[in-house]
Amino acid sequence: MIQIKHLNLYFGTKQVLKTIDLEIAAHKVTALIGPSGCGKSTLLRTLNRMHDLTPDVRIEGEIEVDHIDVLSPQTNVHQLRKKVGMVFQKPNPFPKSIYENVAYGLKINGFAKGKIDEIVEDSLRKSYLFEEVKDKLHEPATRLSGGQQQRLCIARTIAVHPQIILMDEPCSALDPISTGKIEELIGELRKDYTIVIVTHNMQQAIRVSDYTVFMYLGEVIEFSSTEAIFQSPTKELTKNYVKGHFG
Amino acid sequence: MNKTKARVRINKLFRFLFQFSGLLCISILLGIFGMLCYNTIAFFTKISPIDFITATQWAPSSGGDTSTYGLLPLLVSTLLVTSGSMVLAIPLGIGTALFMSEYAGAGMKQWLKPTIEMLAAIPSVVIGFVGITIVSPLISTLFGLPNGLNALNGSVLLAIMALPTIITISEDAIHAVPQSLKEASLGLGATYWQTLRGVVLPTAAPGIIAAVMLGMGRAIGETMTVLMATGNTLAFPKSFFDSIRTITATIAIEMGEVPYQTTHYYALFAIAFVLFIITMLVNILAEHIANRIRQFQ
Ligand SMILES: Nc1ncnc2c1ncn2[C@@H]1O[C@H](COP(=O)(O)OP(=O)(O)OP(=O)(O)O)[C@@H](O)[C@H]1O
Ligand SMILES: [Mg+2]
Repeated sequence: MIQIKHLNLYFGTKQVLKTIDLEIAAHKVTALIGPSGCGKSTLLRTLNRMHDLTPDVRIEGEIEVDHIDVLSPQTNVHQLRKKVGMVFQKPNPFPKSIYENVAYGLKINGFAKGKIDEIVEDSLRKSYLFEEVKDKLHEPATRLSGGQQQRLCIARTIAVHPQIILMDEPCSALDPISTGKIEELIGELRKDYTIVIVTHNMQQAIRVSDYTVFMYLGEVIEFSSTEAIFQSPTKELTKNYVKGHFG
Repeated sequence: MNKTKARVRINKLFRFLFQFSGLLCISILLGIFGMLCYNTIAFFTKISPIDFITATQWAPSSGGDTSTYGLLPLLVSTLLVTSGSMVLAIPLGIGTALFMSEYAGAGMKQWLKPTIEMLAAIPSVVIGFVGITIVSPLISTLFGLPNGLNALNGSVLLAIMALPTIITISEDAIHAVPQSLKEASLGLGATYWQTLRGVVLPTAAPGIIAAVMLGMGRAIGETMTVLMATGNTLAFPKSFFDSIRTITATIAIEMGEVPYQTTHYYALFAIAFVLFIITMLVNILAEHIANRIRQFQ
């Protein structure tokens, strides 16, 4: 689904990603783990070209998503981002109503009103949020709890029918119960989407992911099935990290 | 122990001082309002409110029975220049604020912002000068008018005066929109322009509304500039090319000569009262709209 070849990324003169080669499988959940500052977020944000906004970034190498050359300047970045949705670390609903939050991406794409209503409900159902909010769709999204907000952000993302969903520590700002709900949701979403999730929580990686990538100082140290990474890592560094010796 | 006592006493002293200054502000405000009300009521014991509102002429003559005190021409003049100035200043101001916040580089913003803030420091007489010597001739040649001292001239100048307020406060509001919201919008495939329109402007709206209201308040209450640059004609204006005389200019011109406690004297308070009500309504309305938006944030 996603092919990354010889990816190098520099912020100014500082190299943050070092010759990364990865192949991320479709309809699976791939977890990115590694100590703070190793480049997980940076790698994730390369996949939907979020670095376009950052000054002084230099990217070398190739990324292919569903036959789209992601890094090429000719690529329609808006089209790409519709295919590659993103859920952020802190829930960031728009200061609009619950309904408007989910409808936003659809309105941009010029869907008809009736169609939008239908997709909004459908997306909220898929995010396990509909029952909780069906009576207050037109109330401010900011009145929801943090966990509900994060599920709303997921609903907003799946409303535009992406193929891939990138999640950058989606549970780090949430309590255990909300985290549990999001993990359950991820388990459900994997049927329809390819998911790449950054997490600091080893247990979470074990619970939700099929594959795990361990990164260290901008390099991919080990990439394998989640089971292999946590049960029988081949590299010393990986072993130390997953056993909690550093990080 | 002693130290604690001293601290308690200092605390008390400051609390008293703050309370006092707060009360002072409120009593000054109430005092001014009371004075306006008192004199306005005195006016209405002599002239009926209906005549005041419906008469189409402002023609006070000291002592005679021939005077009429019609609010309309002054009110229409004030509303005309103010709305004209807002039509110019709102899009220009918000556009400039957007440009500064979203497109201008750090270097450009560094000199642009202080320059615009400096515009606010120009005294209104000087703006009046500019109106008489530059804008007015420009208007008369541009539109083939014998005289450029008219409502349009006033609107242009008031727009210039309202712009710094509108720009700086809007820019603060736009700049305060979290990057995370922009990323959320872009992440859904929105273009930068769609993000500005769909997320940045709505999120900054309470601040932008406050900016516009403050700018408008300045325009409505401005006296010297309109007095100098709009021709001071006491007729009912029909278009932006007519000379006008606003409520503020009328008070400023006539207050100096009017005999104390005559009908004319009270009349000037009555129109000041009207001005006060307008600015108050504008503020309440703005507050209401901003609150409606804010509840989503
Ligand atoms: N815009 C930027 N400009 C310069 N350096 C940056 C920028 N963004 C990130 N970095 C640097 O790149 C490195 C990797 O950052 P990144 O955010 O990808 O780490 P991370 O693995 O996601 O860490 P965390 O687990 O703390 O989120 C860090 O050293 C960081 O300081
Ligand atoms: Mg990160």
